[in-house]
Amino acid sequence: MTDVVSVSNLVKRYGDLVALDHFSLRVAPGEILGLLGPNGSGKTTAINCMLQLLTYSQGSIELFGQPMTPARYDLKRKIGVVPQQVAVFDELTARENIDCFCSLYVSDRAERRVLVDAALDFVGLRDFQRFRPRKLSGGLLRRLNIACGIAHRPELILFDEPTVAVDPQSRNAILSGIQRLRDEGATVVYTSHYMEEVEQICSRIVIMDHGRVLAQGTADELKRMISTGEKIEIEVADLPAAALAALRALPHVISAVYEAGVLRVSCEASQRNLMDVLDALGRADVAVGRVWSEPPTLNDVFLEITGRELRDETPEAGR
Amino acid sequence: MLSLAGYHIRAMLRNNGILIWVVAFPIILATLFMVMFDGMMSNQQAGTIAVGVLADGNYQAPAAEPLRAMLGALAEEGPGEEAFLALTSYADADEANDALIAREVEVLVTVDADGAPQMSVPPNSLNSTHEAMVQAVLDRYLQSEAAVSELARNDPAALASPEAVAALTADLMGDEAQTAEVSVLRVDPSEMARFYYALLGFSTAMGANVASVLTERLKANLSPVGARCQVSSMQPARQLGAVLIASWVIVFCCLMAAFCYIRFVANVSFAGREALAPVACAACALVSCALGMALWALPWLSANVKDAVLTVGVLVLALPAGLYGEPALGLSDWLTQHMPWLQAINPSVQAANAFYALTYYDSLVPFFQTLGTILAIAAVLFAVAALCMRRQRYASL
Amino acid sequence: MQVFKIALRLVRRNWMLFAIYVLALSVMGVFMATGVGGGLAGSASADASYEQALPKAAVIDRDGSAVSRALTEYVRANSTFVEVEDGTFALQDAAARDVASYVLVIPAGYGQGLLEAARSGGDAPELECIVSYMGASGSLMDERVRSWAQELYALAAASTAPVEELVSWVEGVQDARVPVSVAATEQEGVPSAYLIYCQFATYPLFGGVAAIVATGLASLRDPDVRRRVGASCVGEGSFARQVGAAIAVCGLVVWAANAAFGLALYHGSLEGVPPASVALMLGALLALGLVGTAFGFLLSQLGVSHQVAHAVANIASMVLTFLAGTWVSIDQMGAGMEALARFTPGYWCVDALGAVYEAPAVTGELVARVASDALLVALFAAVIALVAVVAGRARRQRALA
Repeated sequence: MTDVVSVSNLVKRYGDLVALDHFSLRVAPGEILGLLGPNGSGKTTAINCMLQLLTYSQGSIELFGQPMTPARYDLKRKIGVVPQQVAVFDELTARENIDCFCSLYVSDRAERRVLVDAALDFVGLRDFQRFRPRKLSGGLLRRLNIACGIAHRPELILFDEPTVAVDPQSRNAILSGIQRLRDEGATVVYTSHYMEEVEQICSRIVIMDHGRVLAQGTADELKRMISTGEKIEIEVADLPAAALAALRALPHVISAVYEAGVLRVSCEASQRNLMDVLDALGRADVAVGRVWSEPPTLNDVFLEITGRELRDETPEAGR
Repeated sequence: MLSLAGYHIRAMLRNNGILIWVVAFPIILATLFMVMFDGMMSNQQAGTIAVGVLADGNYQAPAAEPLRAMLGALAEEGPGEEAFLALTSYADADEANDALIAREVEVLVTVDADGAPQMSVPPNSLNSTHEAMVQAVLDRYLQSEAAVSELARNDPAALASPEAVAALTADLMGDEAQTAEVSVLRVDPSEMARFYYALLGFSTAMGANVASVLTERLKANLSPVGARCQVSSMQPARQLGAVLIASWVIVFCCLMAAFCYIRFVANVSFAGREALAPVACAACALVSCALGMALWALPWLSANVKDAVLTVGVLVLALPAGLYGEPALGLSDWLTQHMPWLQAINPSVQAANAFYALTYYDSLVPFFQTLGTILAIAAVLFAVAALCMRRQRYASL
Repeated sequence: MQVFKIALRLVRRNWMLFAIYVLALSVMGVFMATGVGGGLAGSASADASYEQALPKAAVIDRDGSAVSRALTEYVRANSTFVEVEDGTFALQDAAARDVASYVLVIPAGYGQGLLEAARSGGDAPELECIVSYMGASGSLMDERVRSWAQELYALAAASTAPVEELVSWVEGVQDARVPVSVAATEQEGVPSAYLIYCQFATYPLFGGVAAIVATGLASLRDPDVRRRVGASCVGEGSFARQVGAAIAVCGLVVWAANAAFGLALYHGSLEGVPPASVALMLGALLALGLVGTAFGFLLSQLGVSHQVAHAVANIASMVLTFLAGTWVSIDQMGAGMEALARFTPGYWCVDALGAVYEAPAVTGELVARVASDALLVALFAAVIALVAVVAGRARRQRALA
């Protein structure tokens, strides 16, 4: 089956800064592709190039198997965009905004009315349809932003960080809504720097940084690429040095650090990591408190590939 | 496209800034004119002129008796009208000069040894009309005397008898030779009406705000909404068409509202040609849209700067249309005579001229010629807008 | 003083706005002055000799006689002569666009008719004229034309000389003119062009400052920014004072830029004018600049959106300059309008400017008058600033409630 999106060797420069460095991407029909990368990695630039809003010096972009150009209105009819910035008219109500942007794709008024109603229900804004954007909370505004982009039932939807500054309830609603869109037949490209969202809804993930694809695959495939298998944290009141050394000597243990009463052990992939560690502590007569075990995250993938965190804050802050 | 235009109209009607600039501003200004011009005194009414007279020996001499008599007559009030002159006598030359400089009198009349008047005016006078009036009176006096001398020199027989001299003097001061003021215009022109026409010219330029706001919403490099519009499947030309329709409708309605206010509330005459005013408003609305689109389509300058350029540009365009009072009217007339091409490319001036031509000329040819000029300006501005807005992709957003 | 520095930095970032408002509006003032007072190099002021302004006049001679030719020459010699075609459209055009302040139409047979009337003692045939509604120069020209015709009538009535001789006598009589001199003063006066420039400076000083503040400091009124500042250790009162101080600096800079621009352009015609005269005018304008500053502060305290602030600033400027009499002289408006205008600061500023212009010398009296006008204007500024402070405080308290 023809890929819905096919980007090959895209190069985009802003002066001396290379924003996209031979960037390539393929999106199959019906999948939700996650485009994951830190701020400034080129996600939005890639989206804007695909939409033909930005010039690029090299590369090709095909959508629905056909070369994409600014004048391909037939292809544009099948695309929906949910931009990073909320792009709605301040003077129009929610309903009017959705209808206005839908009219850019659908000229028949009766058909549009049905689509607008469906879009309002889809994002849960039926009760707020007469409100103007200024009166909506951040989450509702984001939902309106989405509704404006999907009302015309596009086949390909590009979401550019749609959950920025959104409360958890709205975020969950947005994410489940995107999955429903996929279930209804749409193909989705979802960019974000929140790995939890990407893991939650994306069937395939592309990790990028500095305009380049670093790795791609399903979440499990990506995690299997790295050596880190599991991270174990144990509250330990007092850990003798010998016990620590013994832990470090265990097979599959990559590192063990004891700090401020917490023992952190990083392990390779193995079925018995937790058991082995607890056994080692038990043999050393070390009393343990609470125990956490965390499988590898995409942040670990990113960290191992680039040596940097996916986000600026520490992983704990993401919880 | 019509749906989109409808939404643009709706959005603009809910936009406070637009409502103030394009609707309220002209109405406020027209009201101000109305209130201020209500008690306006005509420029042609002089009022009594304060004249100082140095009542020295020369003035009191017999040779100056006719002059004294003339000044005295002019200083008398007539039935139902105020005196032309108000005389103040000064015994001392320094005192008289000080009074002149201190603006206690507007003109100082002195008499030389031959009984001939001389006139002094203060420096930096703001009222040259009164000075010119007194000068005309004194010139006539001197010329009357000169006429008698001239006749005596060239045809002494004509003044052989005292009766002949008296008859000549009487004839010289008579009013058998008259002029009749004719009106060639359809209605009598009024200086105040020019302000209102200039206001309509100003409103035309001010209406460019509407098109500029809507144009901003078309391009990805100008606003997030522009990006959404640009990636849509509606062709840019159709989106531009929707903007044009919407902005034209709004500006046309605003101009008609301003026109109706000026006509029916301020009672400014358009000489019975009100039916053609919508045609003028339609053309003015078109050039207004073109101006806004062209400015906002320019690729350089930030939104804030374009805002300021439009605001100040509107004020500058309205200056030669005569909006800022007599100095501006003077500038307008000077430009019309010496740099007509500059007036020809100014949409505010042409808009004001359209209403002018509609009112004052018998023929409608000047009116339609002006509309033609307006449409030509609009065409050029639209071309600029179209050229600048062809770009679909940008180096950066 | 961090907020003060931030505010100034924000305004500096919008330097182009600054340039547009101050420079462009100042240039407009130059154009206005050119239209009235002449160019930059010279002006009508302090002329050693009096020069009467010549009206624009045209003659349509349908007679072609010696009388009409002589009358045409007379009008040509005493006016800025313009050619107008003899046709309805051309006459309408001339009248409508004020091409000529005075158009004299000499009907066919006028010369012969005038002579016959003079010798029979009857009324002369009428000359037709079109007199401009703009100013009295057309009427004055008409008066002179009637005088010339009356002189010819009188001479024709008194003498049987042929018409050519009569006409030459009348022409000879025209040399009799009252000599007009300009009263000498100790000091040179301010040129009228500079006066008009200063009068129009009321627009950038008031509206320009307010608009710069409205747009340049718009982000300081952003609700999110205000919340961030509110959470900081900068108190609301201190915030308002610092913003006010920044606005005051803006006002000062606008005034200085406008003054410098005017002095640079008109320095030629201001040579010989006592610096004290110019200083007094600039002082009056500084007072008005304070009003603009206070108004900008008021807009800032009311938290109006940048668009509304922009619009309000410009509308207020136009109304203010209108009521100040810069558009049409206030004394032509009637007593009621003048009474209303006295309640606006622009009136007193323009009054001070006019006083300096008309004054023959800089005397203690003049300084006192200008100072009192300027203080009155500054009082307006103080009142507006006070209203701004109160309004701002009330808004903050309402927000907390």
